Amino acid sequence: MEPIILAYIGVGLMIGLAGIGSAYGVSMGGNAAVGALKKNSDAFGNYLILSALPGTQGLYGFMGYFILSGYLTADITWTTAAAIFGAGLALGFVGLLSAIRQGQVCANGIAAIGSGYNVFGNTMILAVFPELYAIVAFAATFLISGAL
Amino acid sequence: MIVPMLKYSFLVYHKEYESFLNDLRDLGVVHVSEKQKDVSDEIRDKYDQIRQINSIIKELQKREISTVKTDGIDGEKAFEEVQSLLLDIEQKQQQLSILKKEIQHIQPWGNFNNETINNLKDNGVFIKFFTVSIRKFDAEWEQKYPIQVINQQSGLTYFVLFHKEGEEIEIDAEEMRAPEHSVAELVMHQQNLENSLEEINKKLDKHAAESIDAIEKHFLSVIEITDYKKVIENTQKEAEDKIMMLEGWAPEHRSEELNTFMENNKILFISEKPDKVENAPILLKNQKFARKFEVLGELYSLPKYDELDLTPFFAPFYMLFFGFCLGDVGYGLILAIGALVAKGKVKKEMKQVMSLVFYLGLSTILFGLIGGTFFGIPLYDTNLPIYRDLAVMFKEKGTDINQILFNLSLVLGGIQIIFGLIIKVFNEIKQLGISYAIGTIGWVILLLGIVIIALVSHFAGIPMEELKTITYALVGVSGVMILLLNNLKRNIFMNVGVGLWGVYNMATGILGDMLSYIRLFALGISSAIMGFVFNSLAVSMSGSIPVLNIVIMIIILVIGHAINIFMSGLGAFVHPMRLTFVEFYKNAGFSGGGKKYNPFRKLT
Repeated sequence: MEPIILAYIGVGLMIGLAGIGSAYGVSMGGNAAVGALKKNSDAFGNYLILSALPGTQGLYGFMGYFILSGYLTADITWTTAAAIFGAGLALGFVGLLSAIRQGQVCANGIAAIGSGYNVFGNTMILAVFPELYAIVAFAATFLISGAL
Repeated sequence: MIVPMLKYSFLVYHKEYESFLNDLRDLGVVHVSEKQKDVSDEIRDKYDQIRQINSIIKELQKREISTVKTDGIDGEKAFEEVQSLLLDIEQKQQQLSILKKEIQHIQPWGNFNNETINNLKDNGVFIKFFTVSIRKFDAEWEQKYPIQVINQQSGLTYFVLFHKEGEEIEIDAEEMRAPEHSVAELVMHQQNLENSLEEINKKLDKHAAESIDAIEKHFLSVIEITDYKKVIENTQKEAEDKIMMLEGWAPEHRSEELNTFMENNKILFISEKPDKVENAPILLKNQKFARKFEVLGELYSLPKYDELDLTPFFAPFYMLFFGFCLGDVGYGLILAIGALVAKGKVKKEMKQVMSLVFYLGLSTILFGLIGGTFFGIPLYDTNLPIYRDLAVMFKEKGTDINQILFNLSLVLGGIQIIFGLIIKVFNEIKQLGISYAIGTIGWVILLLGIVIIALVSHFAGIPMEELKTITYALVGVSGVMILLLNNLKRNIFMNVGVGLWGVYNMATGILGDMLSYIRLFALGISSAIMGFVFNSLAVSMSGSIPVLNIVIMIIILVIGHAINIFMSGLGAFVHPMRLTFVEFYKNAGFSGGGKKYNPFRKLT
């Protein structure tokens, strides 16, 4: 097996899993928003912003690929490929699960706003916490790329 | 700092109580103590009313009609009228939709007159209405039975069957209930409803133009009445309801005018300083810079009355951390300039927030310059004079700007933690007395001492060997303070036990807390890289058609950086708050739970 295969598997995991996570996360928010619109259609702006919050993990996956893309050459070494694979595992899995959970927090917030509770600001604050770990994983990817 | 309060108890004869309360309200200084936790039903109803008025005001504002200054409008009447108009609209719209469905249902039957049907009935001829799918319609039926096909529509045949009274005819088709009205009648009914809806909407628009101010005044007056009723509920009635006793708080610096007023009106009162246990209301007073950050502190909790107000202490740190997390000269300029422009245009309450945003913008510019990011462009990789030289210098020392930022985030964290511990010393002295604070003082000496020794050894080139004696002395002194003297009023063996527990807590706690500050670096990096990626995307995806590619590039840049400002800005807002409320407050010994000072005052 050539090292480039391992590297691209890593890239695939990075973009794919993080993207899947974001897709799940924002759709959870969207579903909750449709339900909340039935009760309170004025707060659509709030629902929109909260639904969109889990969307960043997919961006981080893509950005991770972007900063590593320079190393994806045919004559890549095993070390580099392993590093890219490791970064892909980290960012991919953390992005996947943190986006799904963040989507659940946002969906709960949207449902609460629909029921008339004034929790928009607080939900935004709470939703940012799961995202921190995706950011840390992305920072790790960046540091890995710096060390190659 | 927390404004010192005095506790007041007033004794008033019941006949003079109403005028006393009115005067008290005009003074607007006394925060009334709340005796009971639950509010009465009457007050709950008032709260409902307040909510309703608020939502009516919002409904009117949504119509976006430009307001016309009109005098002499009765706010309460306007509110009730608007409320009933809105209810009316809802009912009529429901009727309208039912009507529309019915029209669609009987539309295939065309225009007929119910009178004709009644006439036929009087003459002994009854009509039944049937529908059947076109395929199933048997042409023979037209010969066999006295039927008349009216219409064929949407795959169904509509026909009527004439029969005499009592005659039973079986046809394999679905019978429909005879429509009570013809289409024409229903359409007229619909027209009427739509006309009246238009009327109602016009009336509402008129209210939206003229009555909003009056309704808002009504809103404030209901709140005022509610406050008044609450004060009455919190009054203690003595001597068979002849004497009213009211307890409240007033800031010390206003006490003089309050005392003069009481003496002039010959009202009995006692004023005393609050003792340790009582929870006086909290009014914060800070100088201009820290005052802007009081809103942030309130998001979490106001301090207890007898502890230190930490706002002036966390304010500079929060500002720095925000800048660290967002770290981009371009975004900082947008924030700072935007805040300055908006400051002139917003209401009074928001002006403070705009100043806060301005400071945060400045900090963002600062850290953008340090970290070398301008709208996502990595300045250290460009050929700009200062940055080029710095980049070369970093490379020679075997490091780069990111390593430096990583270390800087840990250093800032360490500074905030040690600073928090120093504040804890003062908090403990203020609340419990110096005999309780010695343990914490010991910790501060230990940590500061280690840091200073390490710095001295690193920068002055003195090897650690020579500093050993000083280090041992330091550990010895602080060890005694931490383990033995941490509570002068307690048994010394308890002290050692508690001290050891404290050592374990500190070691794990401080390590975890310091690592928590790495998020500053992570957030800073992610916002810089996101900007960089959007720049690269904009350039690479714009294509090669001469004018179009610049347009596409600008679109991608604007959208991308807007997304980045929002997401990274949100993170930069939240995470330094978390660092303040968790790591800093914990190390500073903050308990919180204070209630905000809300004096009984006039609103209209």
